[in-house]
Amino acid sequence: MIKQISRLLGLQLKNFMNINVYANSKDIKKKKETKGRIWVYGILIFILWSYEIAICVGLSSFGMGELIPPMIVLIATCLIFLLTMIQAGGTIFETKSMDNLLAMPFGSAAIVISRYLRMYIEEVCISFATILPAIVIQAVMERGIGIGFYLFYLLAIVITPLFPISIATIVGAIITGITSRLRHKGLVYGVFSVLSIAGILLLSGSSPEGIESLAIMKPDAIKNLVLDSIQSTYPPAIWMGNAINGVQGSLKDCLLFVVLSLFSFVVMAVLVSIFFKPIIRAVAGTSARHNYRITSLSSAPLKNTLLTREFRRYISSGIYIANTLCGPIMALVFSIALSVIYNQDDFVAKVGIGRDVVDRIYPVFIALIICMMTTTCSSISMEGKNWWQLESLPVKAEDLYYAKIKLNFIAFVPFVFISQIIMLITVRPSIALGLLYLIVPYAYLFFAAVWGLFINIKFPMFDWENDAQVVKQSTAVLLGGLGGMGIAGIASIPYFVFSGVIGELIGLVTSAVFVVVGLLLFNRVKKYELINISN
Amino acid sequence: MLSINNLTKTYRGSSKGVHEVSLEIESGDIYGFIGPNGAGKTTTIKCVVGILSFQEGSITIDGVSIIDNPIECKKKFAYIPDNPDIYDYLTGIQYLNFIADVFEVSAQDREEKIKKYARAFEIEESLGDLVSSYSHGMKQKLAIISAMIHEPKLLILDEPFVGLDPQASVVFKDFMREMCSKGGAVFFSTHVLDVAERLCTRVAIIKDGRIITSGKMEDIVTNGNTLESIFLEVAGDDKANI
Repeated sequence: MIKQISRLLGLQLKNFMNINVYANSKDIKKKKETKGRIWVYGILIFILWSYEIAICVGLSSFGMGELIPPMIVLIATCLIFLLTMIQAGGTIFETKSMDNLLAMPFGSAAIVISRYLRMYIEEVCISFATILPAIVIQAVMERGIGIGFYLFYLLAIVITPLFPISIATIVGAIITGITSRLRHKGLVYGVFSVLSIAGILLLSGSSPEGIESLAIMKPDAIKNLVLDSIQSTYPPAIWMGNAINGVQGSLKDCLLFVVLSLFSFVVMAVLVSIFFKPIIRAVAGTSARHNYRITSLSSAPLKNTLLTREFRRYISSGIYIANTLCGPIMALVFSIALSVIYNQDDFVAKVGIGRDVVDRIYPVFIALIICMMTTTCSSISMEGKNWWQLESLPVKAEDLYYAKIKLNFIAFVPFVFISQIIMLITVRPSIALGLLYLIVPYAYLFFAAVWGLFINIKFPMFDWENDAQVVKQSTAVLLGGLGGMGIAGIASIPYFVFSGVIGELIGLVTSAVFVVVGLLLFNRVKKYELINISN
Repeated sequence: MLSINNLTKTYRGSSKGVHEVSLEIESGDIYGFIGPNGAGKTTTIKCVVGILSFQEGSITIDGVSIIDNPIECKKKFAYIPDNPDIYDYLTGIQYLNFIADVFEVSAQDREEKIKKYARAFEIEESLGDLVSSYSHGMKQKLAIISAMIHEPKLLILDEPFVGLDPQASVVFKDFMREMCSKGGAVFFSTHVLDVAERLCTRVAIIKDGRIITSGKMEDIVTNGNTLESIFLEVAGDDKANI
């Protein structure tokens, strides 16, 4: 069994971070894809580290250094959980290589565990990247640090990913199992995944009691409040934090965390292995009715038929739906939550800022959330092995690109529109601010959609085995999604700097600029012939 | 119908590709394109259909250049690759409707043609199922139907008989002959030399990216030889690869 796992794992790790393709391929585009991905990961790590260093230095300077370990373990856990939640089902039940694997002498458990371990190794890297700044800052700024500090941090790096990956894998297996026998499994999988994430968002949206007095509390009281908050969210973070801080009697709790994490792995391995073959057969299998009779057929204009095809492509992939609809769903959940508490007396205490600030931030905030992951960032790559078809058909590149951008609007607008209506009714803004509510999200979305398409044309990825590789890990998704959001965020700074009518005017001008830049960029995009994307 | 003049295509970082390939395919021709593995058949075909760009030469279909006017050119032919990866998220009929819309086939025409070809290939009952549930042969049949429904002037096929059952092969060969008798043309690559010998009116043999010989079948296969013996003779050391 261990030999089987190590062979399968070795095979999967051979192309870790696309290194094998980079080393052995003569294809310049593939090398560029890998280089781009490494650059983007570097930028993401830089942003994460900047954020963490600011928190850790702040806490340490105010004598609250012991908050750092539990907070950082919690941040790593949340990050890993969110990253694996959407892709776990698709990774464990990946079907492309299944015929080969099942024909070879590998057991279900070996396949499941090797795929789990591949995710685990990826997430240990993320755990390491997340926890490293905390170790360095504490080592530099805190006194009396012993060897135990480093050993327990090392343990935290290795153990932290186990529990969230196991939970994400079990949830992924349940969703995959339920949806695998359905005809439109992609659509249902996507909806289930998005609902799960929305549920988690709503459940984690409550704030701890007593936070209204934060400004007048003493450091010890703040420390206790934060620890209580972490305790109520994820107790193992406190257990691990206590062990790193060398709190008396914390070894027992730390051991409990290790045992719990390993137990979650065993439960996952046993449960998923038992149901692996029936689920994978159902996933790989397809329903065929063999009862079709040709009746009257109708024709449609080319632009409509391209859009219909885009729509069917979109709803066929659960991971694609879940990953892209996360932003609009978050916008909707956020708007609903805000409308519920908006007129409550303790609004300021709950949100941390005044209503007037929230009113101004809202349209740009919603715009940034929906720009985070547009459908266009991966829509060229998602064509995969079918790309030859579009290359050889008499289809103008421009028409195809229009269809891809239109689909982005069709998928996102319902969520954005409902969010806008909710907040317009709740806030009752001035005419100028109301205009911003209505215009800003669509203007930013238009720019982000064109930007995503442009980046995907520059960094296409057609040779993929699993949708998750395109939707979660490709350079285009990282650069297109986060890059689009970053550009939009930077461009919005003047809007936040100036208040009142001038600020609102700047907001409208910024939106107009995004539309114009989007149009200019599209003008450039439509000149890219389909043949040049893959060549 | 199809004119390839001095086509040269090499891949970056490699000397492989095709060099100075010239071919003329006339109306009524069923043109076989044969050669060992890696000889350049698929590269040539992909250049013709506009999937690969090329460094030198010209390709015109019915007088229209694939480089200067790709959209008009693509309206004149249909292409089926060696392993047709068709949109497996569509049903068979959705796929055929998509292709018919792209080529602006009227509702009435598409209905007639889909009925005709689907019944001939015996896949009418499966057209309501997702392509992902199809076998390789069924996908091949669907790709052939999609290629025929808009009545192209030229059919370009890469290994079209792989995966087809014997009955479907016979039906398809009949359709090819019917199409050519009406002034169309077929250009296809194959490794099945006896099929090529019986079906094709013209043939070209390519080796190491260069055309070794080309012409009418009766001019190439002479003196009691077979296409296979001719091929082995000209392909030389590559006979093990056939």
